[in-house]
Amino acid sequence: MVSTSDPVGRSVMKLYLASGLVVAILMMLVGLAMRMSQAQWLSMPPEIFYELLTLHGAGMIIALLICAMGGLWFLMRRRITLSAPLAVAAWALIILGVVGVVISAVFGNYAGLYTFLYPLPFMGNWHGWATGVFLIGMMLINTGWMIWCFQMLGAVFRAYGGLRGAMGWNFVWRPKKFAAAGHKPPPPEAFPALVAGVDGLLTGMAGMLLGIALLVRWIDPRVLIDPLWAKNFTYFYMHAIANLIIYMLAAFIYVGLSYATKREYHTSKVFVIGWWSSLVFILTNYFHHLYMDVSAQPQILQYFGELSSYLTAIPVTAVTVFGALMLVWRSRTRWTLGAVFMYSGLIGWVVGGVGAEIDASVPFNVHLHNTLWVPAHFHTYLLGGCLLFILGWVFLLLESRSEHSTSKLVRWLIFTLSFGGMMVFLSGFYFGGATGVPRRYATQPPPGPLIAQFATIGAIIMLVGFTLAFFEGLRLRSNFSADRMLWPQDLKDKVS
Amino acid sequence: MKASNSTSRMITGGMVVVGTILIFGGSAATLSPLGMTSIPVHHLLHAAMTLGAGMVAIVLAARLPVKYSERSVWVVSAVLAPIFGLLLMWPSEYAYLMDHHGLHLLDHVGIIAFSGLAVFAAQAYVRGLGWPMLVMMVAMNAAAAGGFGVAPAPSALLSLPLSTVTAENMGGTSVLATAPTSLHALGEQVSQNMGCGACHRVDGTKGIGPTWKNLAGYPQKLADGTTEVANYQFLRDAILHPEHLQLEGFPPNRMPTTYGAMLSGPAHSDEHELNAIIWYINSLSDLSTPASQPPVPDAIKK
Amino acid sequence: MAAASKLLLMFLFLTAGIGSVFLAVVLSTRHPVEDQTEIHHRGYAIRWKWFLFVTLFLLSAFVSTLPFFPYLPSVTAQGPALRVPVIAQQFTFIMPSHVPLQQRIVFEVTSRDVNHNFGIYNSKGELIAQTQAMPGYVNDLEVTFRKSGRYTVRCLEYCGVGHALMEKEFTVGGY
Repeated sequence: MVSTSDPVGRSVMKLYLASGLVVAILMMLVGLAMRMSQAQWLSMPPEIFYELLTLHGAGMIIALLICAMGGLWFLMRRRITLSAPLAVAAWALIILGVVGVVISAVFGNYAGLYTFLYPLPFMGNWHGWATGVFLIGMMLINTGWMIWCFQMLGAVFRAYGGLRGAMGWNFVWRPKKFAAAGHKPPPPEAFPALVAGVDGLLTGMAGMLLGIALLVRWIDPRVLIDPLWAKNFTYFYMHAIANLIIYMLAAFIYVGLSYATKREYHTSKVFVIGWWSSLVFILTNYFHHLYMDVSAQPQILQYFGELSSYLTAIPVTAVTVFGALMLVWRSRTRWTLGAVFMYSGLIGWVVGGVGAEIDASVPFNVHLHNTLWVPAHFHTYLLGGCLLFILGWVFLLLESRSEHSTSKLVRWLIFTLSFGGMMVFLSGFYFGGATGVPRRYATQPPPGPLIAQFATIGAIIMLVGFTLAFFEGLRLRSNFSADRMLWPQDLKDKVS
Repeated sequence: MKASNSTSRMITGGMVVVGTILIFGGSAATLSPLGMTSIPVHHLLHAAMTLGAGMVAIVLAARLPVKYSERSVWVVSAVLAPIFGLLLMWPSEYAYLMDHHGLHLLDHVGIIAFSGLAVFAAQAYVRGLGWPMLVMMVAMNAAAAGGFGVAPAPSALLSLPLSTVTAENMGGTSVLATAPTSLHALGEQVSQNMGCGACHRVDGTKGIGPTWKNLAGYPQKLADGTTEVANYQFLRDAILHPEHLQLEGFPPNRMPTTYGAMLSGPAHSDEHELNAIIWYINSLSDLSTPASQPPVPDAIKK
Repeated sequence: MAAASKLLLMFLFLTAGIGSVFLAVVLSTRHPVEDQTEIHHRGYAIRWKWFLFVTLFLLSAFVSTLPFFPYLPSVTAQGPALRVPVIAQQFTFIMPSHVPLQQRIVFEVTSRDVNHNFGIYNSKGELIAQTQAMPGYVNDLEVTFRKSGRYTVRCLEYCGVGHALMEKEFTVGGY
């Protein structure tokens, strides 16, 4: 699974994973402080609450994105040439951007949120310079992201024969000719790489345009910007970035879950077509953020947004998740912590998807838009999906090389605390959303702080579970055997 | 491309010709005496120039020796060049540039250069990346036409008087439905309509903003340690220019500056509603004196 | 029961179902098999059926939601209605404090400064209608109030430090 003969590649992956996880942990603590404030167990003025919310949102997305970038980069480096210095340069730009965001929020009191919805960044209670530093920080992050996407896309093109080869075009439409010429389709993990590269660059360009427009406006207040145009671009960009994280982490499923179940996942026509549709849907889903612009937004886009958001579920459930379930069904999986985390992440993806599809239905959106239902579904995706995939990956790496193994008791304890606490925490959001509690409120309107208190307890339990996992990870790390073979020799079973 | 040699030569030649025409057309346009096009059209014309620059760039990049491809410098250039190109499209300066042809030409040459560099770098890095980059660059420039440098005017609803928007002509039995007989009663209605009570409580408790009870005429501690009595001028400044005031115990810039614009200026030259609010604040204080009261009597003039 | 509570029940029901499927698959690993061919055949057959089911379900769900979209075609937008202007601004809503019962109302919602959201809660605290309040644009939200009482408007789009305090009450009917 992970070759011991590529120390440079592994170092780059560790750089991304470690920095991403450190930022994630800090941001989870920030999130806990916010939920405690809403529970009225911690007192903070609204200025501070919204600064923390800005940090938490931007920080968590970037942290999980960095982890996904690092892991996918490493997986693809086993197959194609990827320059390590360029990957580190991209990482450095992103980290520099994160520093900018932190400075603007902590020292400049910037509280315009990670959606920086025009014209709010220019009409808040924070210092003017903080807006500029935040915007420059986001531009740096976007630049680093685009460099990574460019590198990934270029490598995939070179290795598999341009856009058509990387998409598996001839493999699907002319299979006999393709096979007769001795060609093989790209491996499964190359498709998340392709989609991240294409969609990342496309939306990155949109983010660049928006970022420059806002920066120019910051320097010269005479510049006009259309707020509806800005809103469309903001959501086109931010939705794709957030959505791409979990699609990139699908590569972890294809390689990591295969390893844990001792079966192989390989590219098939159904698989390829599923990824083609995801490539498109990731771009066209963003309209569901504008349902409540009932007159301003062109109506045809609303219909299109609902259809696209609905159909997204097809490739996810019928291809990736179903394929993963087939990998696991009656397999000889050893349910180590890594396998458990990886598998539970799938549940988070599907359950989060159900919450999302409900919200993506326009008549329901009237009752749920911008209530706590929205953070309910994306925390399910990011916490119950993405973070668990990342933890699963990290633990599979640790377990494969460690002489130690985790005892059954500790496994049960960590899983129950983490997953159980997470469910309690998330249900606070779902119940809040169902009772109409608005999102992004520093104080809790009726029915009061009770739901927030419940959620805070869940979050604390979950964090205890993660802390235990951290120490268990250190223990596994303490007894590494550098020469252990990592890739099972006797793979027989193929699943697609 | 799988096309035969002659077809591919035709395509390459065509790209160079069309691209060069677009580049020269875009540059020559800066020297023409034609008047200012609208900003959206201007963006679309930039997009056409980018298309031309990109087409030429792809042809040039194909001539690059293989040993120069796959260098990291191309990736960095391809990502940074569009940023600089976009910075050369500064909508608030378009009118200025239309009058200064030399600068305008330089500006366009810069846009052409950066667009070309971006596409060249993409194609140089990996063959096949040039076309997608070209499409994205052109799309980005065209998309700017949708909202960079243009915005709709504020809705006509904003210029309706406060009393029209909050009209009680739809019935109802609330306190706000009764016609006020004194200026301070009008002030109570206006402050409720404008939502002042969300932050300024009238029962003496501190909220997001200071309470209005026993405010007028009382000394106020400022954040810099000094004290100032809340007389009429103080109250007027606090409402119209809250960004200049910071009280002890409150963070700066909490109060929006919108109320100032709604209560003063040419449409409100008599400051009728502003004085009504200040009379209302006075009515809640037991230290209200002529120094803290507005210079008009507490009566509704008809 | 409020619409949103029904949605929560539906969500919980589906989640329980999903959880059971995942649990069943985990438990199956207690009885592993070596030869995968039979499993693959049945697996692909199930996948095909699942694909057809989920596609048909989503397409029919899409069609069935269409009549309930809150977007006014321009013809009906001009029809007879009481037009009520609402101006959202940091941090209040400028609007009448009373509207009539059983009357087609079109709230013309705009903003003076940043993006806000005009969200109407009934006296039971249920969110019954909402639309975005944007600077430079007007969103027409059609509502017909069938019950008299006190309604509360809350801002549902983060707009700055006073976002959580931005609310307005209005009454409907002979209250």
